[in-house]
Amino acid sequence: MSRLTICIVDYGVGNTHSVANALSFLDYKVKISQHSDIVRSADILILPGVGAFEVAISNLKSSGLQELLHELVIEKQKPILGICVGMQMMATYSEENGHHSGLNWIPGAVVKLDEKFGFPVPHVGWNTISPVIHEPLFTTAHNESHFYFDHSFYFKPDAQHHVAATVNYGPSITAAVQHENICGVQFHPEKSQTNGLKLFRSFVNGIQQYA
Amino acid sequence: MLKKRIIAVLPVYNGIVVQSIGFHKYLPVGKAEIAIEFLNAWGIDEIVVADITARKNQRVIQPGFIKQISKKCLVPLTVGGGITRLEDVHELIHSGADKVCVNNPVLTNPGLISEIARNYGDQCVVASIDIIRENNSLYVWDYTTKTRSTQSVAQVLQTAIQAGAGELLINSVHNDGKYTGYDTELFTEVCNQVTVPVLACGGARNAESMIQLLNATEVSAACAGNFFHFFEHSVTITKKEIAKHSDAIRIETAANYKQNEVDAYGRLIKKDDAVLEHLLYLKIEKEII
Amino acid sequence: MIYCKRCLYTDAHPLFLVLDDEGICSGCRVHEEKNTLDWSKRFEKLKSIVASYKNQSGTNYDCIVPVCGARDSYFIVHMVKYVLGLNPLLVTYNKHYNTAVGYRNLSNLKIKLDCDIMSLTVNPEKIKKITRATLRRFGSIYWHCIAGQTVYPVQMAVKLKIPLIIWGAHQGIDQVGMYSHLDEVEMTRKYRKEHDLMGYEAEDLINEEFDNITEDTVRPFIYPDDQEIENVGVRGIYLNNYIRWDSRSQHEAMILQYGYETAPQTRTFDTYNDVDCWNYSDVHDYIKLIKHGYGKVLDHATREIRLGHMTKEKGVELVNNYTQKKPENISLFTKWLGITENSFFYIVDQFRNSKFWERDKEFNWQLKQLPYGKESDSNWQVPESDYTDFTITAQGKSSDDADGYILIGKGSI
Repeated sequence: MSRLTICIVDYGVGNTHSVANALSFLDYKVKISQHSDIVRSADILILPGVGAFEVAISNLKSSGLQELLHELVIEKQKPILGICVGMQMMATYSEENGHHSGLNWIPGAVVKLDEKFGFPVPHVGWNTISPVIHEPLFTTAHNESHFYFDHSFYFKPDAQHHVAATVNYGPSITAAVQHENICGVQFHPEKSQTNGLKLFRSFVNGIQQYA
Repeated sequence: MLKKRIIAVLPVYNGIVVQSIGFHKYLPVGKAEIAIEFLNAWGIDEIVVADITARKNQRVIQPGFIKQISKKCLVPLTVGGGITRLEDVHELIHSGADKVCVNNPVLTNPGLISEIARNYGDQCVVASIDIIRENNSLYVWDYTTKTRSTQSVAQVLQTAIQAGAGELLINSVHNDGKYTGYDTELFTEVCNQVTVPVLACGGARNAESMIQLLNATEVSAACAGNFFHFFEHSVTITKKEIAKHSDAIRIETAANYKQNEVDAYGRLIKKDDAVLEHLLYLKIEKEII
Repeated sequence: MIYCKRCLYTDAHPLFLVLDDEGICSGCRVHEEKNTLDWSKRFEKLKSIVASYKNQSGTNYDCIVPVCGARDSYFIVHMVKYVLGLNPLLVTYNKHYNTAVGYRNLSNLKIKLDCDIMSLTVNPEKIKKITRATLRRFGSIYWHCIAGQTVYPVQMAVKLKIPLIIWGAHQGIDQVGMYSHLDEVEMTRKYRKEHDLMGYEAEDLINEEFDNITEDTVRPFIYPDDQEIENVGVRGIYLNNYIRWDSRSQHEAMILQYGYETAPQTRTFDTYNDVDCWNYSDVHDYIKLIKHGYGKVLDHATREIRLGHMTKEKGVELVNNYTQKKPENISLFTKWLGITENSFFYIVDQFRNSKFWERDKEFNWQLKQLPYGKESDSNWQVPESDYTDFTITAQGKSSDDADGYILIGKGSI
């Protein structure tokens, strides 16, 4: 059994326990922390997210985690998976409640779902995704795989080749992104039952080649 | 395609999941963590845990309780019961809850909803509104006083939306535990007035109730509390039945009951003897000399 | 503790109880249905369900009926075979703690009611290993019995492709009103795990270091996979949702009709329900008292009070009398299990519930309060007839040794 350590970065605005439950189910060694030693020594990082962008990014900055993550993820290429707002923070900026700068790890903007298409906002519930880049997130998923979405804003990467999966909600919008050791998903794998568990497994197994 | 959700509501009374009948009679079912474990295994889309004795006992649903029961919950878990402060929400989200549900604050302190939405996003807040039909008119029901609210249904719906609620959980009080089917007109009324997802609860008897609800209204989810506890693989069988009438249902369990039929009550019908025999042994034709 | 005004239960019941504004418990409220429902209509519903399960091709049984040498088995088989006209396959799990009476009853059942029966006897060394572990971990000597009784019928249904299993009474409905009879609740793995097995399924017992229990040890108790159950379309129904259940009357009818044998029990007045077991109304009931503050006699009295066969005062008298009776079969049990009596008491004491017990001045354990309430329900009609003792039938003769556990007996024929 794999004894990798996965650290769920706790920056005060995330459903950390839910993510931990799912990873524990898969028998991984999991820690929820914001302490630099623990974050540093983990093999894989998860950046969870349930919340508003503004509060999330400000918490990340004020806790000192922004610098630490930059060092570990950008300089040292540690594998990281961002979930929902955790993924959105990887963008250049977000339009939620104003204009707020993100981490700019994957250039692009976070914009509001357009109600003009007649699809209610927020986008809540189970929807099927279309994988574009199969490794490392979607080795076991396919076009009929459902994942749980719950968001009002979505990520528009500047470069198409960063889009790892799309979902149909009016137009086709980004469901997942990837850039080398950095992955992000708009949906919640920790809340997507078996498909979510499979995604975590696929990610952990596949991401290390990029590290 | 976004699917309609089938949601289990677990009312918790003094720490135990109960069946709710008319909002005043309760039958004990058992521990929340067991209910959650099996609802998950049966393919439920989402679970709502509502502590209905919290406000009466002047406390909030306990984070420790949520931590304990959420271990095997791999679908979104919405929790509610006596939430009055932002701090309550912070602890709950850090204990395994994914969304929070507020009922009384919709009527008495909608500012709390805005606060939660600002900090956790509107998708994290579900406004629960109890509606009662009396003399063929709809009224908002205040469960703390057990009377009709002075605010109208339209007012309360708009208050909840303006305050930033991401979804509305609408309970039809007069149908609770009656097994007469959903009050589809009530939910049509509500859907006409809002654009956020509406989760309908109250009166579900079996798959047929849900089929009627999803055909007649634009709700995003059909919720049930009681009947999911009544028979084996209840959620799986119910979903498979609904899927016959709609392709907006998610079926992803290994056991999917596609080869089984149900009766008028939503319970399994025996497979043909020939089918069962075929499963039992290989028929070997005897050579006739 | 909050007491029910009508019966003897409190809100500390292990299956959970809800008391309403009038001080009446959910069990009593659901029990009221016994006097308000149209039972002939309920029976018609039962007939229509089972009719659809009859095997038409003549190549298989119509249903599976789990039985043992007690517990309404005769009544259930009689109903299924002679009243509903079905062709049942009986299945029984060997609980090991078998009495001679129990084995005679089981033999008699097969013969007098003319049914085929499949039986599972797990090897005694495995059972002892498992029971040592369940006793140590959660203070139960009965886990293997309940696990076996509830899984074996499902395994047989799946293996033999007989989807319908017919059970007698659903304990949750019967005791605490967990469901209305109209809910027509069916068997679920969920209920089994939580309420029958105290949260522990077979796989949860695997523990190689301490208990020497491997997957092989618990294999007989492993529940069939969801897909196997789906494949066959297994359904377990309860007769008490369709028949007005009255265990005493039912047993007495079976005594008359088939010669069902009864025997005195150590810790209860009900001489019918558990005659097949050395431990149920003895060692196991002693443990129940330690853990839950009351014994089975209280369940039996509550049942009779609700049915109107007994006043609350009589129930209290019987509970007071029998709750204090010392168990007589502990040494038989400890010898069988391979532990000393001292270690048995030591282990069981770890599970003594301080909610119900405290030490007195002489450092002896005493119940903190009465396990039942003294108030009465003014709306409840007191039964006119006096309570009469349960029958003790003449003892039959079997060719097996009557002074120890009987593993496989011949019965009287």
